[in-house]
Amino acid sequence: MTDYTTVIGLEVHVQLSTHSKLFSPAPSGALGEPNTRVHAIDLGLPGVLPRPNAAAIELAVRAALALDGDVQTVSRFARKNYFYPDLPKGYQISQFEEPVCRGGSVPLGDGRSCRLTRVHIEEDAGKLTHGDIGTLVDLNRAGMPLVEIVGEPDLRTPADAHAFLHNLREILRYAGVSDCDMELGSMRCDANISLMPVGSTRFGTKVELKNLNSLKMVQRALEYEERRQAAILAAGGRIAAETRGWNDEAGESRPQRSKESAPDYRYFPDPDLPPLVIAPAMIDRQREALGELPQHRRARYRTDFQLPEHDILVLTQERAVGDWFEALVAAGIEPKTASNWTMSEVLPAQRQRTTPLAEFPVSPQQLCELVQLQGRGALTQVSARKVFQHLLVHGGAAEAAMHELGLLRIVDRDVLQPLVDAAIAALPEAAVAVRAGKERAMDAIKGNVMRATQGRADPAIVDALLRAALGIGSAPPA
Amino acid sequence: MTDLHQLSATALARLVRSGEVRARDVVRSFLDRIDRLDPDYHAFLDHRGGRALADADAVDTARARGADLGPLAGVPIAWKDNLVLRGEVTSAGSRMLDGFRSPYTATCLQRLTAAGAILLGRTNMDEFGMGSSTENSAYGPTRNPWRPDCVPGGSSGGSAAAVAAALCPLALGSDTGGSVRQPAALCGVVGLKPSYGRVSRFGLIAYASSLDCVGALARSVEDLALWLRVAAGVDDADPTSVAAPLPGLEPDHRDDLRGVRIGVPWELNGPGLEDEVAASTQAAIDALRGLGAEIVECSLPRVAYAVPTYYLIAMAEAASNLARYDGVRYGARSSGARRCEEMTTVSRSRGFGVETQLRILLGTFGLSIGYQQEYYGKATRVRELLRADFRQVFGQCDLLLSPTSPVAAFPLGSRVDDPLAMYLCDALTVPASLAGLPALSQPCGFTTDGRPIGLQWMAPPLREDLLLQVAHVFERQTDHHQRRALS
Amino acid sequence: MPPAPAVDRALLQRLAELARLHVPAERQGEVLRSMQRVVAAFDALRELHDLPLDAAAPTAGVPLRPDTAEPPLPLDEVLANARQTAAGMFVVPRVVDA
Repeated sequence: MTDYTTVIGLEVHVQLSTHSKLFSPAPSGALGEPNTRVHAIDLGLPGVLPRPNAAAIELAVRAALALDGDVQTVSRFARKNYFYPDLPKGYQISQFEEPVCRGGSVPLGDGRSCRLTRVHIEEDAGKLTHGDIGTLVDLNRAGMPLVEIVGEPDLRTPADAHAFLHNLREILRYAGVSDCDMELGSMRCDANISLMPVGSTRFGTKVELKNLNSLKMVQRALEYEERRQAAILAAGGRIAAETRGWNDEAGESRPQRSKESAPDYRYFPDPDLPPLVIAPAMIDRQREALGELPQHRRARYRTDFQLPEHDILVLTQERAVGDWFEALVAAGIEPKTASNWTMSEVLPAQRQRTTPLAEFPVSPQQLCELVQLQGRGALTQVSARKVFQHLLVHGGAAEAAMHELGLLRIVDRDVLQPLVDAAIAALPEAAVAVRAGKERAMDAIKGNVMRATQGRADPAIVDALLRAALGIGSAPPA
Repeated sequence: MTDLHQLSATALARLVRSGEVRARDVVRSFLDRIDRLDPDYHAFLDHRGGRALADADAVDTARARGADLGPLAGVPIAWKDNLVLRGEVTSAGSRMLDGFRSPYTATCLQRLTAAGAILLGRTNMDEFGMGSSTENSAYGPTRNPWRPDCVPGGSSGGSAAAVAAALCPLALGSDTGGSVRQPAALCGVVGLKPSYGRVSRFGLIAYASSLDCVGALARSVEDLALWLRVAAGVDDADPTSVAAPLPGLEPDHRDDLRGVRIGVPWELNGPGLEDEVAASTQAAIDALRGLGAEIVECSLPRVAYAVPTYYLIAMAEAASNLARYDGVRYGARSSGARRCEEMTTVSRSRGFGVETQLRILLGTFGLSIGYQQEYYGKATRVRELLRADFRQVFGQCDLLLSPTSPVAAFPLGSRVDDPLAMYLCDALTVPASLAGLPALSQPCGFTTDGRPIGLQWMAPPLREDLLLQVAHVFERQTDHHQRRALS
Repeated sequence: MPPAPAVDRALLQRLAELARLHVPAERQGEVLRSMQRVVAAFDALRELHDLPLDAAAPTAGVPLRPDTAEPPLPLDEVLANARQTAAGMFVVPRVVDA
């Protein structure tokens, strides 16, 4: 492997989050029963004409801005002509010589970035399944709005490719452009990979990899291909220009078709569609709608909140998470406390849910009240969690829930003393150990008290009473 | 009273509205006439018979109720078989679409029925609009009502013949490179190709998208103005339709053309014309001068390239537009193929006629790797030059005039073996198509053996008003349009 | 200017494959002759040089439709004109990726 430099370029298709298709008013989004989301336009019936969707154009512009590309005020739709039973018109409406965006880049996370060639708008094709009676054609997906993001061959390792896709997905989700769900097909990736001798500037023969249905698969397939090509080259062989399909179960790729002769798609401007003219005002609106991108948010969290890097990564993985966290901070919670609550309580609870985080049943205000109760000493950490779980199910105010659950912290020494004594009596071996200097053994006795009070006992008072009872010195300062 | 079938659309609409005539009787008389005469001419592929009568009854009932009647209420209209009507068969003159029924209706037909018109039946055409004689119909040729041994022109030959034979007062056609104007000329009727985008193309089966226009044929200019008022207008379903307002189309009852500057581009008025066509055109020019028009000699230098430019663009777009006929979702499918690719190839090879296949092959050639730049690419640029020529010349004159066709109706079968000879029939009509101009053909004389000759007017983009006004004066001041076939 | 292309059987074969047409051997001569005549007429354009690159920049672009979903075609209408269907889908002879 050390003899070769790997060169990787990705082409990514992303489905835009619109209500209707790119050129027809049939619903977009989930697919449902076969051929139940098909308009006469999607069927390519004689006489139909495309009707471009404003939201699809806007989201494409937003994607271009999010990726720091150069939005073209005039671009054109072009026809890509080829026959395939999933392509109803015998051509795909795409963009060719005049894409909606030129240039752009995707950060790789370590200060490097990968340049983009272009971003263009195009329609999706239908779906084929192969059965005993022949091939079955479902056109629900035909006409779904896509942008194709074409990367320059700037990536040098399969891990770079992984980082590219991870960051691209994060940015486009932030921008509200797409769900970018590779498993569900709203983000699809083809990878071109070639090897060249270290020090060379001439790229080797490239192979296109298809059928890469997750980030992990992309990385695995590229690692496999890197090894395969290196082995061929090391043995003095030459790489065939071809398209290979990745088989994840087998852990290998297989040739699909040769690319020795380029297909003749006969691209030409679609005569049904005048040029796409994008007004500066629309670009401004999309820039506004774009909001803060993940890389910028991370930088801000570092300087404004001084959070640990791990917290920052978790909080900025999705726009909604950071928004939630910031709502807590805005409500008056100290940033690290807000971060802890978000990471250890809110996100695990959200993972059990299917609705958006913005509809989380406990509002930032409710949680803030809870955190303040804890801060005032009315609730222990354990009790605060219980109140949170209660609010999650029943709603209401934190203080009321605390009283309803009887979770007020027990600070009364007269109540706690007998419980401490009983715990020492119940665990004589631990008591002996503590007296012999093993302070860690105190935890078992404290746990016993906590269990007896369902976690409501004030840990500091329990600690003091226990030390007094066992005749050892006070705890070292925390 | 005159026979109903001799009346214009305008007159029929007036009679139905006033209650002097029932829509049912109008429709009945045309249906009878079609059943009686059309077997000889084959202008129609079929008619709607009882359904048309039922629609007429609805108009009569609405009138009896005192409801507002649309401007075309009770007027029977035929339409070219490349316009789709929900639930009805549409074939575009091709076996490829044998039995196809559309689940939606073309905007231009929708507007007709909304105006009260009665859709009478589908007219014959060259397959997918590809032809100038209607001999390329998969369903057999149409004959010219003036001379049954001659073609009616094409590709809207069925519509032209239907109007000429008074089988309907008005018929829709489509004009890509002259397919309304040329058959209008060869059949002695008036044909209007509006500006590109003036009438919605939604539901018009595409031949060449950047050139296709829905047009109409009638026996008077007034009827075409009536139709255009109903048909014109922007349509959300057609991204190339134009939102420009339609200038007043009320017939101008002036008797002269003083102050009107009529340009006569020499390139369209001399080379390659049949003698009698040239003579009739010259007579028309003299008559126009006599009516006070100023005749301006002018030039369109790039028009010499119009025919190759037109055919390259039209064929390239057609090759792409006709790729949807693959046997998968609708239309003809050949059985027995073991692989999908083979099924599509065999279906297309059997479904498309000879001329259509030739044009698909040539269009594919013009777009393919290694040829696109020199052929299709060059044609699109020459097209821009031609537009510039027209802009220039419209600085010197208000309208342009030429013959519509270099030849009068020719015998059936006389040109089928030479595609290029057929393409040259369009030499005078394709320039306006390439520039998207409105153009109109109207009768201006006859050959000595009685075949009609047509005069073509061209106006600046969106100036249909000029065309109609000037053509109306010419029509009123001459008697060419009064002669009738089959009388 | 590159030389005029040879409109020959090889080109016809390539175009026919691209266009999914089958021109039987006995018709190829006739089709080629027609094509050669028309391409010769097209070649008139090849003499033209220094053509403008493109039309003037457009002022109004393609009209855009608001993003509102409308009911799709009912399934029976989607499939109504198809020659073979099964399980709500169009059926074609097997597609085999080369």
